[in-house]
Amino acid sequence: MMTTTRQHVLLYFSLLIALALVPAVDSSRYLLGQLTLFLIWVGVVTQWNLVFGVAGIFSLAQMMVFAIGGYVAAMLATHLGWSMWAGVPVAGLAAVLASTVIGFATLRQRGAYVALLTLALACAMQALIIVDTDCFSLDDGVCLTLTGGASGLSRFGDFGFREWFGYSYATIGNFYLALLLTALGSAFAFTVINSPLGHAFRALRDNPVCAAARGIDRVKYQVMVFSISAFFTGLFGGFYAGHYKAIGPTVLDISTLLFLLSAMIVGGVGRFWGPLLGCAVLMFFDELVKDLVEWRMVGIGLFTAVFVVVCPHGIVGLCERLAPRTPLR
Amino acid sequence: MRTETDDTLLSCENIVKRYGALTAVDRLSLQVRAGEVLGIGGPNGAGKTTLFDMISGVTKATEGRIVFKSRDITRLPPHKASPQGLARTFQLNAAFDSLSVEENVLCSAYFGRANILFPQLRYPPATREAARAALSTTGLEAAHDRKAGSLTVLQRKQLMIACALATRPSVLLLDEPVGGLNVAEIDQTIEMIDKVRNEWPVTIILIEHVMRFLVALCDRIVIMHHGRKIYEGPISGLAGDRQVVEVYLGEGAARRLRDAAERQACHA
Amino acid sequence: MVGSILQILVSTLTLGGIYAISAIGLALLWGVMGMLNMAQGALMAVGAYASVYAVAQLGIPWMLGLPAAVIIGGICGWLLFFASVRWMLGSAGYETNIIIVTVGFAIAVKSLLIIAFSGYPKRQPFTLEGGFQLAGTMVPYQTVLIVSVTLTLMLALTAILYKTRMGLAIRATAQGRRAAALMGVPAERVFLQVMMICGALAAISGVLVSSIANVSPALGDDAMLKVFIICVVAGLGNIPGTILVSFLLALVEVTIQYAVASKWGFPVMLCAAILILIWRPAGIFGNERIARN
Ligand SMILES: Nc1ncnc2c1ncn2[C@@H]1O[C@H](COP(=O)(O)OP(=O)(O)OP(=O)(O)O)[C@@H](O)[C@H]1O
Ligand SMILES: [Mg+2]
Repeated sequence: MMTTTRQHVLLYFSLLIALALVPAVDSSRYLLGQLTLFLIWVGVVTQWNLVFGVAGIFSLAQMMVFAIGGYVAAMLATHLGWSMWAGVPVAGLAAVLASTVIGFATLRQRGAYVALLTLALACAMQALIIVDTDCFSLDDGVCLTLTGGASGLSRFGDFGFREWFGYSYATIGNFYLALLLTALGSAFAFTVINSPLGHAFRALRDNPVCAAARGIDRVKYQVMVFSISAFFTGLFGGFYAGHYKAIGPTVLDISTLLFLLSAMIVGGVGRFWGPLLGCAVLMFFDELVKDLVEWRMVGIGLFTAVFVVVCPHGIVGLCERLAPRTPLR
Repeated sequence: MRTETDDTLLSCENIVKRYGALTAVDRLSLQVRAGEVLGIGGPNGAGKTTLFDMISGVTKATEGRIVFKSRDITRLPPHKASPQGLARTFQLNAAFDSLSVEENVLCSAYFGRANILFPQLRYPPATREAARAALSTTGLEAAHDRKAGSLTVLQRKQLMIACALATRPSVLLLDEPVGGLNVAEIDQTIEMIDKVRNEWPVTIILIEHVMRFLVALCDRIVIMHHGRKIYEGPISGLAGDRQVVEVYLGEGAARRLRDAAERQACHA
Repeated sequence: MVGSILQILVSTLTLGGIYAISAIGLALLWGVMGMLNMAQGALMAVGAYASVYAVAQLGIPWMLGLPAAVIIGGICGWLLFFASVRWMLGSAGYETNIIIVTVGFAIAVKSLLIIAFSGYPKRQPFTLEGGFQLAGTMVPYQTVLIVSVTLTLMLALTAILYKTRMGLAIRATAQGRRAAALMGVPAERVFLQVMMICGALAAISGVLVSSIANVSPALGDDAMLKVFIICVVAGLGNIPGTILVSFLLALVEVTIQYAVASKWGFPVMLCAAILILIWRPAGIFGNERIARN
């Protein structure tokens, strides 16, 4: 058991290392850009999987936490002129703080109630951002609202790879940064899952009444998983803002949420390989249908729905059924 | 009502549990002495499990007081019961199905023993030792790396007891530890609980319908009916109690019980 | 003062009625098959467009836009049942997976609506112009129309649920799926009926919502969210409680919009909901189910 876990972890990080060699082979901006986005989503889904799959909390606040990270980094850069290198860690901490508050507000509930409340919070945040039109600061006489309103924030700098290494290195620099963050985030998640804390999360998911009888405080540990998973989610949010040099309320769209939720389910909820496989499949599918313009969303929506109906345990679940000797959660 | 003596470990004073119009437990008082094995019997729906639920904090008593080690624990939340030294098992075979047997026991030993403010990254040696001891008493060592979800019924029952023991409780509450087992498995469980009694410093309260099991293990027995205590005393008095025979045992079982009690007395 | 109170009251009745219709559908679905239907918003949009299309293209009188929406909504419910729930009910992870499936369908349907009708807002034909004066306040006829539709619907639903065999079967299934099936209630037919009723209710509420705003593919999104909050606050699955809370939260929302600012309506409603849930975790009218092992 121990050895197989170790083998899987080894394989996982070997794959990430293999990805690191991609720029040596093909450094086209498009490919690296898509890979960077892929890594961002893998990172976000890995943390979501911790909450949703491992701890069994039906939270839909993941993109809200991501957006909080992104907005904090973007607002610090826009209004206070912070560098992204300082803003992104602060974004992670801010996400932890916000997530703890959200956790206390919603996690007294269970199951579907949590899903609805968290979704409502995310939508409320989006609604508030969109109607934000009051000037917060002035930039060369141009009125800047706190959150940028419906069009978002976009007048801030990035990670500065361009200035340091030249124009063509901006994409590569961002790609390696994303890779580093994803590796760290995954290592963090695997460590947690296989520690006593992870066992407590899984115990609460498997049987909350029995877990309580073994001394595991449901609200405390569920808020905890909410908070700790928010750190990397917030970091990725900040990185996203720095990478695209923009952030707007569209990150809170239900379609974005569905895309990542599908990635998690298609991969396999609560499974080790779930986030990576799911994101790979969905990004690949998205790549296939992106030329279909308005039919793209129809395709993604139907693909997700049909996939979940036909194969509710995801690709990993399917593999386990076909080759039942490699169980890994 | 009996008065509290010095070695009373757990006492329930006139506890009541109402679910709407239904009174599941009705003004029940009970004293448990340190070191004894107390059996609880009674027909289905008598309120036995509800009594355990109240003691372990899973539901709150509507009225009355529960005192454990001279502390009032009536309103204790469920996750605080275990660190106090109260461990229970469940009538349905509850376990953490996605964890291995060993992980089940380890995490029970870790979180169930003391209040953990923030968990460490690895289980401390003392926890591992407690888990190992619990696995060895219950005979689950060989299955330690199996997923709990894949165990047999007997193994699941053993796992539940192992998890409870791993918290090193002073009172162990067992809810139908042999419900659904066959005769050979019942004998095996009797042996195991005997071992627990001899090797662990623990007071045991067990709910069971299987009379043979109660006869073999209990020092004292309580029979409940409609939420009330209708009998309390030695097992030998059971068959002679008119009400118990009427509502619970039936004539046949009463006769067998009398015979069994005599045989037990001869052996002793 | 009287005028503004009256204004708030009128708006509350209108909004509350629309919420209630949608919320009843969701509560039924949850109660009977433990399903959170995230396609509710899309179904609302489908209903609104059905009315627009029927009136504009088929040339039927505007009044008949509503029945047209009901039929299309029912058909959508039927389709949704056979495309998803039918195959998933009772499987592991059902509660989660059904949410994803319905969101998936919702996104597909909304995109299809954009393709078919363009995203450009349209006017809902199911409207009455003009209004009358009441104590110095202008009461639009549309409000009267909406309130009468919702009242009629609630009465009809009550009659269906409490006076017909179908209603009995639905209520029995809501009490316990297994038990009802064992007593000979044809579970699958009940599920199908409930899905169709829910589809029809969503379509009606879509027509009504669009009659006070306008018709667009996203018209149901905000409403759906509020309706979910209503269901949660009332206690998932409780129908009378859901109706009451619909009006209660509509009152909160309208008052805030009127007294403070329109943009604070939803956030304040949400905060109120969370406070209520902290006070009563299973909702105002929900019974706390004690988890047992
Ligand atoms: N959460 C609950 N809500 C409503 N009624 C309950 C609840 N829990 C138990 N009851 C009722 O309380 C009564 C006592 O139940 P309890 O489970 O304590 O009986 P028991 O003695 O353990 O029976 P058995 O031998 O079948 O396990 C029963 O009538 C039961 O239906
Ligand atoms: Mg019982």
